Parts: sequence; structure tokens; C-alpha cells
Amino acid sequence: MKSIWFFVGITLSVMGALVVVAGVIDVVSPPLRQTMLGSLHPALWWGILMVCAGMIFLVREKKQ
Amino acid sequence: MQALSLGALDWLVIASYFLIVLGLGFYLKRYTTSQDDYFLAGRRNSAWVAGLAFLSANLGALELLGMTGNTFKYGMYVAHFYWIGAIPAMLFLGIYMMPFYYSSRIKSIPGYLKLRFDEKTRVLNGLAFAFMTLLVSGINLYAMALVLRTFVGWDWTVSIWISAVTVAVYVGMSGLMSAIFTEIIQFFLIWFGLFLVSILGIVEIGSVHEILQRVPESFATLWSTSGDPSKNGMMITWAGIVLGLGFVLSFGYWTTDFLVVQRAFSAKDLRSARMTPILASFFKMALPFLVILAGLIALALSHTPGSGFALLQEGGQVNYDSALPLLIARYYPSGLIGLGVTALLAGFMAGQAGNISAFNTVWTYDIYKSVINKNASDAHLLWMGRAATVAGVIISVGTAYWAKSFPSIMDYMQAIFSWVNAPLFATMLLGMFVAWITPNGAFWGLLAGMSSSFLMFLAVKFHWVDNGVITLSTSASDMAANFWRAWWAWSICFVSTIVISLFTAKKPEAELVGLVKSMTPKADESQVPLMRKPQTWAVISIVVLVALNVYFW
Repeated sequence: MKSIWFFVGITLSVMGALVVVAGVIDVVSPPLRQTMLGSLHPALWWGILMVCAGMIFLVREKKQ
Repeated sequence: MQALSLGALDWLVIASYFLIVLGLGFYLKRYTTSQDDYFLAGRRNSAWVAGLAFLSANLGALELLGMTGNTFKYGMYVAHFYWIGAIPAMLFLGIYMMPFYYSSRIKSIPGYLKLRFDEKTRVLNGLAFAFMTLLVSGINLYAMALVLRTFVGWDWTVSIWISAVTVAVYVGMSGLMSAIFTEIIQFFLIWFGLFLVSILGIVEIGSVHEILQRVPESFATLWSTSGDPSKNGMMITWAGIVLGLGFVLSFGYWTTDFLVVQRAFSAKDLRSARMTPILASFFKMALPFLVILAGLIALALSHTPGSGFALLQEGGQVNYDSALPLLIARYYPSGLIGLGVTALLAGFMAGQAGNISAFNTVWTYDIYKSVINKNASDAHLLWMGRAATVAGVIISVGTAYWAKSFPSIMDYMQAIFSWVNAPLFATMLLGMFVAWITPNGAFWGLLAGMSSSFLMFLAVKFHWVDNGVITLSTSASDMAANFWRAWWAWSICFVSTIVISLFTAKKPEAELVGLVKSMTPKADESQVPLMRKPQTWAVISIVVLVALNVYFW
């Protein structure tokens, strides 16, 4: 049976990737309604952080 | 406020969550072949897995929204729920109580009552727990539908049925195992989905220090205004916090509520089971940096002229629960909104799954097998667990609609805990540490504690007595009343159990071995390295707890 950490890795990677895509779209085509601190592009860097965290779990599982 | 606008990517994030949890249920079903797999997740979890699940079972979205809103209403005093109102009890469970729970190989808390006392005490607690669990599960569903309708504009009935059916499918297929797996995923989703609110809040305002500067002084301290209830937001004294929350409600919940303790029962060995609540205590202490900080940011923004931030008003009343969704709407662009909504959804569904998995165990073992079908086979009990899951979800949906018809039903949540958990803690404490407590003493004491708590609630609700009689104060909030009622219910149960035990027949000492401290040989831990001992980590946890309280004094 795969461990729970594998599924945590999958979840963070998939959702993080979707958030990154949203962040890239935000940069390329800024939305009409700008959120507070939207100029910092939080979706982009937060999505990247999630993907990195997800990958750490997946790599750790693969090694084991 | 306009409903949060969800784009295609937001919907994809939400859909991916549903696909993952349903896929998990199907995947784990092939590994769920016995009642131990279904009700105890095979008893093969590490302390980390059990510990995160232990914490997450308590970390519903209801709590996230409610505690953020309560911080706006009461200030930093709400942090007491996470620190003195949780940590000592979690450590006590790990160090002193878990050896009796785990070593007796029970499947539920009422199961311990059967071994230590008798069948009638087990059935009384089993029925009370089943009733409480389904009520809380329904309220959880109701709250979820309310939040999704208010902030995302989703239809009430659709929200309730989609999440209820999803929970029924994945818990029905693989029981506690899938509940634990989804709880751990929920833990990460909550941090990744909501902690960014606190980060962006600090960036906007400038620093944590600046946030504390902008809120009223009495809202920015933990203890320094607790000498006079009129000088703090919660209108409570330090005695109410320590006795009601820190002792009775906290110990009652964290050491006896099967919803959370069941996660520790799934650990692979006694050491892991003992480490479960101790590890969870470190994560619990971190939660105020997510929940309380968000509430203080909302409060600071509302005190900042020109910020454009104000909580929703409904019928002239402030909707405190709107604090967190309004911050999400303020800071989150497309994509992140989907993540924030998924974090809340995951919290709601994991909270409901936790209640349902605890309910199906107590129903199957402590009511069905104990009273209705004593000779049920392993396969039949597994089937009954799945049937109880589906029935529990359907009853929860009914409870959710019932809750909808009572506008103030949320006020009853803490009250329900004070009826069931507070007196049960007195019974457990006496049962584990005093050998001469008798089965009749436990049963009648527990009944007296539960009924007195319920009567106190009714007496104040219908103005038969003044609230001050219970709270020992002329000014007290509803929260303070809950703390004090829990204290009195515990005391009544404690004293009644002792007095009745003095005059009734004791159990033979031979039947108490492994169940009562003085009757159980002490395990030899002299060869265990210091850093492998649960006690070492408990001491570290206490040191961190003291440091946090002193820092925010």
C-alpha cells in the first residue's frame, strides 16, 4: 500500500500546478479586478512553493 | 458582499480535491478486509500519521471560521483554546491515560467503560456520544452549506448532498483508514490554503507588532487583563479560564472524546500511540499563527481608516464568521480563491468524516454488538460498520436541515460538549486512578453530571436562575457560561461518583489489572534512550507552551 505521504505529494503538486497556471495567466493578462497586493503575484510564487513541497514528498516516497 | 467569483482554474482545483479523496476511498477499499482495518485503520499507523490525524479531526472549517471570528470578537484570549485549553490535556492523555486505553485493546472509549465498570455505563456513554456526534456532524454540514451559500453563492441543498455523498462513499468504502488519509491531506490544504492570508496581512499592515498596535490593548494580551472580567474581551477571569477551559472542557474533550482519541488507537504500537497526542501538541500550538493572527489582522484592518474592511452585518448583527472569507476575497486572486475554498471544503468534509467514522465504531461495538446482536461475526460487523456510515450520513443531513430551522444552533455546540464530555472526564479520571470506584458509582455519577449540566443550560436559557449564579460573576459572556457550566458538571459527577462508590459493591481487583494505575505493573523504560521517551517530548512541549504564554502575557 502506498503511504499517505505519496498522496499528500500528489495533492500539493496537482493543486500547486493549477495555482501556478492561474498565476502565470495573471501576469500575462492582468485581471480587471485587482486584489490587495495583487501586484506581488501571490498565486505564482505560492503555487511554486506548493509544487516544491509536493515534489519533496514524492521524491522522498520514491527513495523509500 | 458579492459572492466570491470562481474562475475555471478555481473550479479545477476544487474538482481535483473531490477526485483525489474519492480515488483514495476506492484505492484503500482493497486493503480494508477486516473489522480492525475498517474501525482501527489496521492499527499500523506511525505516530506522525496518527498525530496529524488526531489534530486534524478537531480542525474543522467550523473551527477555522469560528475561531477567526471569535478573535475579532474576543481578541487574543481565543488563543487559550489552543494553548492552555489543549496542550496540558493532550500531554496528560499521552503520558498517563494512553497506556490504559491502548494496552486494553479496546476499540472505543465506551469499550473502556465496559471493562473498567459495566455494560450499562458503556451503553449510557455510547448513546450520548452517538447522539452528540450525529448532532455535531449535522451542524458541520449546516455550517458548510451556510458558508458556501453566503460567500460562494452555491445552492444550499446541492452543497449539503454533494459533500454528504462524497463522505459516505469514501468512509463507507474504507472506514477510519480513508478518514485518516483525508484528514492529513486536509491538514496540508488548510495550511497552504489559508496561511497566505496571514502572510499577506502582515505584508499589508507592516509587521505583527504593528497589527498588535492597531487593535485595542485589552484584545492584544493573554493573561494581563484576566484579573478583572470587565477588562478583557471575553469577560472572564483567569479562574474561569483555568478551571473551566484549561481543566474540565479541555481534558474532557482531548482525553475522552472518541472522535480524536480513535486516531491514537490506530497507532502501530504503544509508544506511537503515546506520541500521537504529544506530537499533535506542537502543531496545535502553531495554529494561532494561522487562525488568531488572521482574526487580529481583520480587527486591525477594521480599525484602520480607509482600509475599506468591515465585517458583514445581518439583521443588525455583526457576522463574525465572515472575517476569514472576507480576507480571502481581499487578498486571493483567481486560482488561490479555489485553493482557499477547497481548504474550507476539506475542513468541513474531514470534520464530518471524523464524526461519521467515530459514530460507526461506537454504534457497531457499543450499541449494536453490545445490546442487539452479541454474537455478530467479523464479516457481519464490517457490513454493519458500512451500513452505519450510510445511515449516519443520512441522519446528519436530516440534522443539518433541522439545524437550519434554529438560527442560534451554533451557540449549542460548546453546550453539547459540556453535557457529554465534561462529566465523562470525571468518570474516566476516577476510573483510571482510583481503584475503589464502583460500577454503580460511575453510572449514577455520570448520569448526575450529564443531567445537571443539561438542567443548568435549561435553567439559564429559560431564566429560571440568573447566569451569575453559575458564572460567579455579574458580567459574563456566553463563552464564560459554557466554561463554568462544564466545571460544575464535572464537579457534580466527581463528587456523586465518589459518594455512591462508598456505599456500593466494588469490582474484584483481579479484573482491574491494566485498567487502573495502582493495579498495573509499571513498565520498565530504563533502557529506552532519552529522546525516544514520550516524557521527554512532553517536557519540551510544556516549555514551548510556557514560553508562548509568557511572551504574549
